[in-house]
Amino acid sequence: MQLEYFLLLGAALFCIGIYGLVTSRNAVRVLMSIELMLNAVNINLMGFSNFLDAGEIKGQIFTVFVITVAAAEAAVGLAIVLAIYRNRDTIDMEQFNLLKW
Amino acid sequence: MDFSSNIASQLHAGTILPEGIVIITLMVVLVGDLIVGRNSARWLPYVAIAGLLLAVADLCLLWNAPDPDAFLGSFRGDNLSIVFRGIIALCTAVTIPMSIRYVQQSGTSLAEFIGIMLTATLGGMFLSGANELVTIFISLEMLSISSYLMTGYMKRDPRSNEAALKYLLIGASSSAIFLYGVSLLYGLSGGKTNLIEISAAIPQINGPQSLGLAVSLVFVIAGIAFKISAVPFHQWTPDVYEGSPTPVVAFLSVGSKTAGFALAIRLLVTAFEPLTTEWHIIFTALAILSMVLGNVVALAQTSMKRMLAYSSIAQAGFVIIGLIAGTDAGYSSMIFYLLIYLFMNLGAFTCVILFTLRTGTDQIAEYAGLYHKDPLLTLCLSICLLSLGGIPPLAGFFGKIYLFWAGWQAGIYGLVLLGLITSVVSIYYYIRVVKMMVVKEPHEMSDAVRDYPAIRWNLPGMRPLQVGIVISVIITSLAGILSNPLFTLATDSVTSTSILQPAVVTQELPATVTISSVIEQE
Repeated sequence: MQLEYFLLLGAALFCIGIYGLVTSRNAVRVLMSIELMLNAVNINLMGFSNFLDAGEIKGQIFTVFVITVAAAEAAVGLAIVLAIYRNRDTIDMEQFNLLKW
Repeated sequence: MDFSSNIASQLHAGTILPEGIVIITLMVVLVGDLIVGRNSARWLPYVAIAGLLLAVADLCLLWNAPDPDAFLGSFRGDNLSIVFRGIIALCTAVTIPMSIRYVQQSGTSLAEFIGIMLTATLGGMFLSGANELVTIFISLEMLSISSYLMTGYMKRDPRSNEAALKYLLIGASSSAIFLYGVSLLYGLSGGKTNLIEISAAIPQINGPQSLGLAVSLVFVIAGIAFKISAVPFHQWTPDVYEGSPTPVVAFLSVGSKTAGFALAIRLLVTAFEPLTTEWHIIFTALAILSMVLGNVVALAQTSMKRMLAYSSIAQAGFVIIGLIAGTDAGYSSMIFYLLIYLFMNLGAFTCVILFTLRTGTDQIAEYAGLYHKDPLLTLCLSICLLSLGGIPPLAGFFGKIYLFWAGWQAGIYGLVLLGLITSVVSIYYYIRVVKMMVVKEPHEMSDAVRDYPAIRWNLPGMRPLQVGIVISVIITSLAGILSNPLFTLATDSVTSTSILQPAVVTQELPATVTISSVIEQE
């Protein structure tokens, strides 16, 4: 296996995440797209850590931190989505237009 | 016990004692609220303020510490970080008094609000000194996630919900993009996470021109520009500022932005040192766009909070001039401006909070004729706004002069001229509010001002608000004339910080501690 394959997989996953972020109308789907982007970062870090830093594996430790923080971010995100659903009865991004200039 | 104190001294844990004080304060606030219940709202804010001021005092004691590297080089408590940590802690200490009445009036729990705000402060303080990619990421997220929570704190208000959702989605995606850049940086440096090691490894591995490094730089700048809300990464700013509770906005506009600038200096000057010309070009574009768009769009705003949002975007553009200048004077003018910006912006927001508490609106047109009903509020708001606009002899004028002077010295004439022109534009929209309040005759008063309630400072939570306003206004009006101590502080912090002095960095490289050497010492 070569390092390039991991990086290509990471880049592809990141692009899918960006695409989902831009096109999704459902707030939960946007959150899922963000998770995809974070997982692309994880693949990158794991690849680099295996090929370049096999002794101190800093990349793998970084990945553990990223997973943890992503979980916290998802929890806060879902809580906010829940709060907005209670008030507005929708999680459609196009409906959120109270704040506009 | 002996073992643990041994470890602590070898890791230089004393460097993060100010953060330790903030953590203890946070614990006291949370546990105190659990034990005592709602009655604790009377003394908890003061505990938090005392803790923050204690942390600032401790930061003063750590000034010029002989060995600033802590935790094997992942945290650097040098003088630059001390100034930035001090600004962030002070910002929270000024924000808490103005939030007491606001949060109580909205019927939500005050202790939780203060707890989240202290967590955000902690994240910002760690971010200012973080010298290692993992530490940077964790502290950045600590600041961001608590900011999302604070933005959505008024959970029954649909506008606050919407602001929180927008902030969360844009913030989380920008931090994912930032992280992707960081992961590339980790790979391109051959598996290093310490910023100083990265800057040493990158030229050896990649040579002068590297496409991967440029991609990583662009991604990292996207993350930083989001935090300092520079155009074109600013779309969240007006929405979040308008929708979220005003004390939170005050914190975001000063604390969060300061932390972003601290991150920008450390990351760009250390790790991206080989790409200095490239990031200078990108930041020049960001500064031009921020100054032009921020100031021009602010002209068209009708909501006070939205106008201050665009004004804060424009102010970020001014501060970037100091960053691009890249000289000692440039960095110290940034710090000097941020110190002054802390008080004038928080003063303005405190006045906006007070007006909203009394009338329930934040439309600019509703301020008409306020002078006849509340001269003190009019005076304070006018001083803060004029200082933001840069009218002499207020503090903002001296801050801006110093920034522009540093930029002129460094030879970025175009940017400085643009800064001068756009600050003239900015004076127009600040003066417009002042004129609205002062010039209007009594019969031209807005409805909100006509029904203005009697001024009562003895309501619960009003006294701290008054103290906050008075302190901010006094400092805003005097800091310009008596600017020498602040000026010396800013200059000293820059000249005594090794990362900003290129010659010193190369000498220090062999001294970085590795895990193995510490284990051997055990």
